[in-house]
Amino acid sequence: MVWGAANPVGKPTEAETPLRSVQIDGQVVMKIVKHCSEQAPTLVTGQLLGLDIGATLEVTDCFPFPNQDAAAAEGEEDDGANYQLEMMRCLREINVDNNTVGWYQSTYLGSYYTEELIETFLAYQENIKRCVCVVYDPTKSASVGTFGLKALRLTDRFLEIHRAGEFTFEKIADKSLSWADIVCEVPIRIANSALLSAMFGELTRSVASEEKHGVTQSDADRLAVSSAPFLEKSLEFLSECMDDLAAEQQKVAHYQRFLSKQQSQQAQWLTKRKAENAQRRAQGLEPLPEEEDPSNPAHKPSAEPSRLEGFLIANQVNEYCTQIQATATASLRKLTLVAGSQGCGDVVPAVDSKA
Amino acid sequence: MGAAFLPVHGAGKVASVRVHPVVVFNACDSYVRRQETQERVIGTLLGTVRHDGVVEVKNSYAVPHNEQNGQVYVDVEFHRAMIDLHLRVNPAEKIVGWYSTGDGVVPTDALIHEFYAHECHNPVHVTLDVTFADRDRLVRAWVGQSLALGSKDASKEAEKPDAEGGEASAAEGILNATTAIHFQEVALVNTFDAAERVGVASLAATNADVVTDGDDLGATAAKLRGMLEKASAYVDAVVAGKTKGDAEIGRRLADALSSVPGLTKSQFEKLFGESAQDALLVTYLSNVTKMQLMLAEKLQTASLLI
Repeated sequence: MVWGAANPVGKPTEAETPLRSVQIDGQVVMKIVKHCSEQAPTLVTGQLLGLDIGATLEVTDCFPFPNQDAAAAEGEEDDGANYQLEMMRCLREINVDNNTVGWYQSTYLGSYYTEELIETFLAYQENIKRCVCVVYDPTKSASVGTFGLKALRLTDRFLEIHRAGEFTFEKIADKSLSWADIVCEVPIRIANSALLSAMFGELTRSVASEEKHGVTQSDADRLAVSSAPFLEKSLEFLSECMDDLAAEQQKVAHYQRFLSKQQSQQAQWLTKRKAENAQRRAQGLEPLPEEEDPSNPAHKPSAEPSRLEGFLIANQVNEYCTQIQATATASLRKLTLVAGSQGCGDVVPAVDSKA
Repeated sequence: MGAAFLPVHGAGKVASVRVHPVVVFNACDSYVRRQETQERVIGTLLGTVRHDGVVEVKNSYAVPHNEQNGQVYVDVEFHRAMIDLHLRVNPAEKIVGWYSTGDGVVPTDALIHEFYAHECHNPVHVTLDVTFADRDRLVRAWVGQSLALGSKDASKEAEKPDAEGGEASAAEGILNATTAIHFQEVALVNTFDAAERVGVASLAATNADVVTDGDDLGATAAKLRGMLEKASAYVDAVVAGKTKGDAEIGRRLADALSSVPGLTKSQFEKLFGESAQDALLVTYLSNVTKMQLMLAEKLQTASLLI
């Protein structure tokens, strides 16, 4: 899924100004929401178009990518690229900013920290210095009543390390990069044209004034007390993730054990060789080389496991935890509300769940 | 959206049109981005037609066009290319009609409508008034019926609806038209479900922050409270004999009341305690997990530095 590689119109910008915020058109938000929730539970992706102005990245339009399964069934790698180019050409004709600034993707319960994400990021980053990934979680809106839209980008430090080559222990220690420093969130702002704002204001006037209090769908979603299914699924994912993390740690531990064993073997070999050489010298013979010999199994360097996977899993676990905490806090508050409305306010245990 | 439903004679099976907000967004955007010389923009509407004649407009894209002296040039190639691309993403969305900016129907619409009549059966025409002439009817939907110019009889003329003004013939001023289109307004419903989820207020604003971790429960509770107060005020007024009770409202109130589970205090306490404990346990668990993660990181990096 390396869509970005097919895109030739990456506008090189000076990377000096850091990206402070992402400004998204209401239109784009609606399109993303529509595409992602219509195709759910299939995960979908699409391209973001816009302009890169100073510290803000303006996303003014987007278009969806066809379903990957369908594209794969046709067996056409180029097909996706063709679709993309054709769409961009068409959009240019109707005066849309046809400058790729990133992509969007849907996610299920916030499980988006994958190697694929990083790969796609890197592919995009080759052409576009500053690109973002907008992640939308349709499940969140429906079950918690909050709006699950996030803009992500890779941190400069991670990119630096990645550019330098392999993702090894030494490099990470060198830059003191922790798992939290791979991806960072960029604040999102919604912007609209004045026309649209006026139009929408007029159209929703009746909705907003209805019943005077303007009860909306998200109000109803928000009041739903049952958060158990959401929590259950999140916990399930979390425990799966923990298993993965344990496996990953096992791998690292295994490697470390192997390394220390190898080092002691090497030391042994060296002392042996030195003793041998001392003997040979005493006998007046040419000393044997004391350098490492690659044919010797004790010196064979073993491949170091990539830390990226572990880092991503850690991120994912963190994401789940945050999500679970938020949901649990919200449901506690709702419970308190229910207790209050039932006239049983006194049963509420004094809990500060945020602490 | 304020338009009343008019019985549509001979206009196919289009009963009403439901417009997804994304279409409004798209139309506005394309109007803002139009060519300098262009007075209005048109575009293709995509969606589905339900069995009961409700046309759901779910998506749209702008189509370049050019109007001069009653002649219209629509970029058909562009339209075809776009529809191909859209069908690859969502094959379920077919062409259902077209939109244009402007208040009501203008003469050249007949030509465009005829073009879309070849693209789909019974196209709908949605107009979006960007001049805000009539604030209550910014978005309007029309269906067209092809008429042979000669047979435009008096009965049709006589049937022009009253104050709604929902009918307009667009035959005049078309140079090469052999047929005229008889436009009739149909009911239009805006569906804002999706927009509401995002927050209508933040979406409609010219510049707003997204409320992702919305701390809106307070606001929602306040709304709920307001509604309850209103209901109880009404009930009090009826009981006091100040207002005449409406049976329909009474039934609704009874429904609402009966949906409240009748729990005793001890039952409720038990339920409440269980749920609260669940939530707290889960919070605790996730906190422990986070702690574990941090600890693992610290220990790992510490041991690796050797």
